[in-house]
Amino acid sequence: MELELIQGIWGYHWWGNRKLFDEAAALGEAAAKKDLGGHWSFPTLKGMLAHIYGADRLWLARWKGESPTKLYGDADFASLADLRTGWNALEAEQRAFVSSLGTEALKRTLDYKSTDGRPFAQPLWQQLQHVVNHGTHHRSEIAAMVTLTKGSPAPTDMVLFYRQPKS
Amino acid sequence: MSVDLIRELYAYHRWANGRLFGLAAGLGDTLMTRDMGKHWSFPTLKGMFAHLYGADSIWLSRWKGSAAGRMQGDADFSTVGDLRAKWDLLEAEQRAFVDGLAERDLTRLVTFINNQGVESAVALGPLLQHVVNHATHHRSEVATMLTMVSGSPPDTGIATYRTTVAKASRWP
Repeated sequence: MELELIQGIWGYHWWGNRKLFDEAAALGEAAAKKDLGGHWSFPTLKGMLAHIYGADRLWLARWKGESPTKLYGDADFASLADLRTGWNALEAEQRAFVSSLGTEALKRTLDYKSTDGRPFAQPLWQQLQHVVNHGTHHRSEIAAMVTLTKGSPAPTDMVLFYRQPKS
Repeated sequence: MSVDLIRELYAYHRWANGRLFGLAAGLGDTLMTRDMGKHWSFPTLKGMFAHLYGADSIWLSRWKGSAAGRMQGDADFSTVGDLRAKWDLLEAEQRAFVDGLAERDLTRLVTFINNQGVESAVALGPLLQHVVNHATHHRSEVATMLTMVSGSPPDTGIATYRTTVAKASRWP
């Protein structure tokens, strides 16, 4: 069942991301670039979404055998619309990767270097779990920032995703 | 292997909770009960941890098939010390449950009635993942609140957990 568990949380990841990206986009470009304070991981909605993109992109590259030194972020995107284009392409690439996995691939230990060059080795399943959990941490910040701007967004609880009617 | 995946996820859950609860409790009851605004899921650090307790507790009851009752929250705990004592007991009970799981348990459908009265059935494996994900959402809020009152807390990411605490972690 391990493959279902991992592919399940990735289905959730894309679902949660899209819900909150759409919420942020509906506020408009100006609101997405508004500085909401130094106590957030990143001060703007655009910066937060750009960081999720950057982390997801970095990890996907590692899974494909590369160790990029650049972490993409806010400054790499002129607008939320610009980020969305890159986001959609990355998500398609992630979907192809995650759906191609088998149980053996999950157990395989993957070597990678952090952006500052330190070597690490972890089984792929752990890295796949990390990226979704990382996304949830920042989605929570996005939800609170959207709440500050226009009121609480729709919930993105994992159990709600699993309750979605299967198409 | 899937049962190991779940057990490791719960080891992470306990580690991240312990890290933030320890830090927050060290601030004292006054800061833990300070109202930090309506844009948070719960306005105080104590309320946030009480909600994590309530959610973890109600789900454990559902998994065990016992009457879940009402979801506990801030008002059920007089102090942070009171919450911590109950938290430790719940964590031990949750750990015993998770440690006792077999592969076949993860596909078992759990039928439950949510707080809005709607009945659903979801397999135990995804529900176990839900509870940790739910906590990560609120731990993120706790981290931001801690940043506001005492400075940024240490990282509680899974990658940090794996590369520091659980270095030896691997598939058996």
